Amino acid sequence: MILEARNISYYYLDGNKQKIVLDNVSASFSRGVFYTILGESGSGKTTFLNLLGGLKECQSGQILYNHQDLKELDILKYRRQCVSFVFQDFNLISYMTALENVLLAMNISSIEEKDEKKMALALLKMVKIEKDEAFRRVDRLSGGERQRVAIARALSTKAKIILADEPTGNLDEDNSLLIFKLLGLIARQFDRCVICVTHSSKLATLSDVTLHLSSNQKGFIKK
Amino acid sequence: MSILRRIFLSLTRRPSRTLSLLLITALILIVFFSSIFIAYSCHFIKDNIADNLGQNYLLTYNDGRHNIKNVTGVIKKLNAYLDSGNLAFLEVNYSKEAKLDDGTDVLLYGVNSQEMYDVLNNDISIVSGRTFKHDEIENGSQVAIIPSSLKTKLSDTSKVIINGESFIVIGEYVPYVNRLNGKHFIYVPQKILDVEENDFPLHIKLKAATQGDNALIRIYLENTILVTSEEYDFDFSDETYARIEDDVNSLLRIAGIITISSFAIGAFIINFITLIMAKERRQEFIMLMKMGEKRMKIIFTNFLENLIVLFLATCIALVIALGIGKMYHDKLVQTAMAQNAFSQSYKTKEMYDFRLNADQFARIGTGFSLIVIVSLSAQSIYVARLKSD
Repeated sequence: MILEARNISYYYLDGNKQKIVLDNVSASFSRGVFYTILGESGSGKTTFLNLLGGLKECQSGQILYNHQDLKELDILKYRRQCVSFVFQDFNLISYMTALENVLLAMNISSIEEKDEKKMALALLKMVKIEKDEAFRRVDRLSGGERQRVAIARALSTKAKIILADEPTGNLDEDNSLLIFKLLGLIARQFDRCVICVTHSSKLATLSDVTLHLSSNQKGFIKK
Repeated sequence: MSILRRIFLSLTRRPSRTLSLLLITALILIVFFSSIFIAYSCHFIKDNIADNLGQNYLLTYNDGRHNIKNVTGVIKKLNAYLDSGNLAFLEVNYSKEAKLDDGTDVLLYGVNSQEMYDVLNNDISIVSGRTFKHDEIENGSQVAIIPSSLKTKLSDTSKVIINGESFIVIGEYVPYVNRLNGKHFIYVPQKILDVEENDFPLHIKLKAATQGDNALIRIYLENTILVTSEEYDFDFSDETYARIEDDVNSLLRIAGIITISSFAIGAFIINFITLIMAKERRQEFIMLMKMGEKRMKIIFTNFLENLIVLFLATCIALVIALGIGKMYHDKLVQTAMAQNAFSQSYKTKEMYDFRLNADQFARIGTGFSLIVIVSLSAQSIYVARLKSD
């Protein structure tokens, strides 16, 4: 088990009213497994992912990375080296090429490779981005290609956990399928823990474990 | 990927953004720096009109014959005619070339006062004997005060034969080395010198350094340039000077207002533009934060990026502003000349030197730093307050 959410609760204040998003939620995640989190809109899927990624802090409970509470860790280092994000709207730097986006992520994560360019190109090739596309600015790539660049970027940091927030939200069916297959492959072949939030129960069948976040129960039902 | 590489990509891959920021900033800075240089020119012109036309002065001087005089007035455009700085011609005294009986060339210097005075070295020290008596000066008695160097050559030290006439030596002073081309300098009563037009004149010139409404004036001898009072034009009116000064002062005030307002408005506009640009890149900054990039590094990178553009804009603006400043300065000089504020000979003098010296560089550097801090504060604050989630 690499990551564990233990009885976490998260709420925010809407005026004077306390809005509970997550209530006493627990889940554990292991390496080499592809997880999907399903749930209705407003069930707190993205909040849960943000909590796992150290972007938010829960009001109660613990998130443990390798049995260590995130609150005790250097959160920036955790974000740099332990988790990687894949977003629905890709979040690539538009004026950079696919290759430069991957290199930038490696630089932020302090990945020092002898030939980092070669490694970045290999990662891009793995996600089916050929050399021509690799040297093209990302704003000139298709949506599917951009998301694959984002996956290559997530892989490049060597983080053990990849958090994907509806990565197929802006993609057609074929590309969605390709992305999910890739995420599954990364989890199994690269021994990563991939946690993916999605609305599609069809795509969720491609994952190893599906967790359902219910807005009524505010907790997980493991399937 | 280094910070510099990231900045390079950001600047070159979005040329329209970079160029628009560069051009707008350069335009603002051109106005800012031009107004500063025009203000410099105004100060320069003002100072030079003052030098040329003169300032009111109160002068206390020794006339070279021990008389202490107070003179007030306006030093008018005299120095424009003279090559050696702020010299103003005041009056002429005469010396006369003469020969001793042994053929030695000497210079006679007329004295009309009992107190001996050397205009270069203040009081002359009489090492033996005495100075002139009142009646000797009044009557033009044949008495002389000779230098020690001459005394040693005389067989009879009680008298000296000048141009065949005998003068009683009443005193001895320590001579000035190499003075007047090594000729002995003998003081005699002024009346003895029968001054003619071609006699060698000693010009007492006044060095005027203007300070406020008064001129501090030092007096010294000038004996190498032959000048006469007829060469000088004294008829420039104080009213003209005052009018030109008023015009320059008005321009100076306008330049000052433009400097301050262009700084304030410019800083606001640059802040606004860079803030809009930072907002456009909100997603990028948030993404970097999510990836674990330190907030300070993001602020620094973005700041440095805009700083580079601002620096380039400053360089462009400085070159153009220097040109505008120089153009304006020349126009001011021409206008001043047309109004007879500058003499034509002034044209040959070196104009305001627009090459930047260390002092100006320091001022521009300070101005630039101030502009950067003020202009890039909004976007830095904006990035600092961004939330990563």
